[in-house]
Amino acid sequence: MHREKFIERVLLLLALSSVGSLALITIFIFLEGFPLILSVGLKDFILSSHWAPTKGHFGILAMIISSVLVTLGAMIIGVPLGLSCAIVLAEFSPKRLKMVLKPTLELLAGIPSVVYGFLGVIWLVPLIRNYLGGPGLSLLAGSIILGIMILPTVISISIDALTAVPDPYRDGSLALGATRWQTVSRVVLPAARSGIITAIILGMGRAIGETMAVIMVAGNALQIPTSILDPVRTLTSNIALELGYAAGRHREALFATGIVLFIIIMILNLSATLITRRR
Amino acid sequence: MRLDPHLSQGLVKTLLWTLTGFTLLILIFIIADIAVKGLPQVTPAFLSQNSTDMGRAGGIFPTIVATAYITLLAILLASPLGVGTAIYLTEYTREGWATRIIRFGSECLAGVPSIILGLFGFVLFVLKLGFGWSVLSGSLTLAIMVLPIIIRTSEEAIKAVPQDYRTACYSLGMSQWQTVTRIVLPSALPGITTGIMLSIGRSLGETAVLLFTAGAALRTPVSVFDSGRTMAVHFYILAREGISMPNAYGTAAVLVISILLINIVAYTLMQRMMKRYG
Amino acid sequence: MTADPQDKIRIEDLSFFFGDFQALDGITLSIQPHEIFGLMGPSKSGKSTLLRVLNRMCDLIVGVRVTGGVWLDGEDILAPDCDVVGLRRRVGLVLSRPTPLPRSVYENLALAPRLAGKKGRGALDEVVETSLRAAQLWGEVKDRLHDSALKLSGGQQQRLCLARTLAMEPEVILLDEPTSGLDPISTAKIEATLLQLKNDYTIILVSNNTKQIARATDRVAFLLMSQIIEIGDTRQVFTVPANRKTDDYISGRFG
Repeated sequence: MHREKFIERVLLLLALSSVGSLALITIFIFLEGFPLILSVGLKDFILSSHWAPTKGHFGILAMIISSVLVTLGAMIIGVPLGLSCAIVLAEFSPKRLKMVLKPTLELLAGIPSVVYGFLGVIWLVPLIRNYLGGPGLSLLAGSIILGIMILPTVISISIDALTAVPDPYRDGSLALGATRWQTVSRVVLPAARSGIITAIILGMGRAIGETMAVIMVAGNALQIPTSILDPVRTLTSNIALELGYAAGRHREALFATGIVLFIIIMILNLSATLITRRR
Repeated sequence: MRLDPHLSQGLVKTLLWTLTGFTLLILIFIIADIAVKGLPQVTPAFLSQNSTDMGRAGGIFPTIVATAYITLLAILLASPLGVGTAIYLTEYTREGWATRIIRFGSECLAGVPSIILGLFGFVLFVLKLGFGWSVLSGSLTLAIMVLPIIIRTSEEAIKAVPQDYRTACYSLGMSQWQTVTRIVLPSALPGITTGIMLSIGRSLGETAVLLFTAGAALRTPVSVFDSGRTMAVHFYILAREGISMPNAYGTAAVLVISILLINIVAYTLMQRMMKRYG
Repeated sequence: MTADPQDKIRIEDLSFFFGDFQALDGITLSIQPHEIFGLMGPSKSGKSTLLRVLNRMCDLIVGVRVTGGVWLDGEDILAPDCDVVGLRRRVGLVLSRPTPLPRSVYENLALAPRLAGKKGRGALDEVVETSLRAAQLWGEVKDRLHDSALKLSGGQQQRLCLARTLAMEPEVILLDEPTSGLDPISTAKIEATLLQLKNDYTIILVSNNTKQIARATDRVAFLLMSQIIEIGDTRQVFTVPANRKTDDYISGRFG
């Protein structure tokens, strides 16, 4: 009896590791970055785009806007492609094809982000530079690469949401004389809505948090972009580019950037969790 | 005028299949490009020689060692925590606020971007605890990153073990711990292994975390306090600083092929587990 | 009821609740050593629940409440400090469905005794052979002891589960409709085994097959809607039942 109680305590301790890590991460990021936000002032921190950390200017507006735009662009590219794949695989393709394609697409989620970034530099950036103009390293390149990167996430979760819709829904609609597409668009998609929204939100989280691929293709210029061909620097890129040499207030400012990113991601995750739970 | 339903279905299907085909083409292109340009670089010498001239010449041996070292250590740290959490959630407690908090914590942890983990590992392990840029700092941070993957897959695997097995064990006078270790865990092993393989795959490809915790020293690490440059970090540096495109492609090929192989093994194990109990 | 020192198990005023549902209502009953005691009644009458109280398998269900008392050899098994694992070694349970563990035939039998502290290859070999012989399975599986138990037929699996319980050398064996999923030949083999085991064990058999109860048990209790309607010698209950409901049940008018 005593032994079993002891084992239970040990297991509880292990089980607290994930919550504990999350708490530790939150505490450390906030401890390191919050003092700077306080001294600069929240307004000047997130509403100014003057970033010259060695001279005491800590405005991250340009990066916030860049992050949001790159993510939006990634959604515009990734969501239609991903959803089409999911609908085709779940509703219109023979079972055997689905059995091959779904795991293949999921395997591709394992390709490291640096590889996507690298291929972006090699293939995509010259294309943009030669045919559309600008430096090539741009908001557009970042959006396209991120859009491709989120495909496995969007496809896999959407397929699960679509297959979770019970077959009688489909049978009922088909029996009333609706075509397969009418059935999918009027019955299956609405029924799978919350799952698909979750897929999109998680894809969004993945895109806004992505670092290495964006650094490689987006150009990293400190400015509010005026065209999709302008180079941009996102919140994540800024942290990764400067952490290597930052010290003192400058480093604090990077952690403060981390806080903003952290809060955005947590809001996205929370909404995904809430949507899934309500289902 | 309304479009004939069958015509519109035909149009939509064509569009969807085109987009799907396009997606698949992109993904095939990625693999093909890496394989075609990278594989010719991958010779026995490339795998077994030290890097020279910052990676411009020589092989990638030190980065293979660093990758294996950091990944294995991270898995060794994360597996007991992850599997223990899964056992606690499934076998030792009932659904309630405690399980909800633990699950929620693990879900949120899964969503934390790697750059934030990198920041965290940098300030806690590298600076505050004084481990420096080292295999140890890198492994500790990676362990936190893969913990949610191991928890989720292990939990699913343990839940898939038939309840009858537990009932049979208890009715034979086996204690809960004996039941868990002798029957439940061995039956769930393929699923748990899947989680561990997926974690290895994720660790191999990780860059942002390791750049700031394990550093980028291009030497073969020996002690856990040595800095080590993993394959992914090496590839990033070669590509970003334009040091050597052929070597970058070669490294990418080794990296991508190892990750795909590991993921295929993980997937096969999961299928087998599902076939047996699903 | 006065305490009889000969009682193997004594149950007094036992009630059992799953949440709001009362599964047992004021059960009082005593079971003698070396008898086969039958529990019969329609499904949901509380038979299986009663069985699961006797080795505390009921602990595994969330939200149950027990009142009253159960004594095994005079020892209170509902006491909070009762060693449940030890109790289950003394009171074995065979379930209605065969539940072989995903191991070899040999391991199915040797695992629990080994964990209970039985050491040595020789001793374990002996336990395996004796219990398989007792369950009349030895002849069929002696050449495939190291094959997976999942490959046995349903009837063999169920006798394996019986043998597995015997391997623990318990004092009491609880059987919860052990033949409900089996063909008549396997059923006959299990019944024959039970009659032989009587000399060494106290057996409680739950069944909703009244013919089986009539064939295999010495005494019987009839449960209906969580209560005991009648207890008595099997032959007497089946020839001159004291209660009208018992008569209706055994003559097949309901249940």
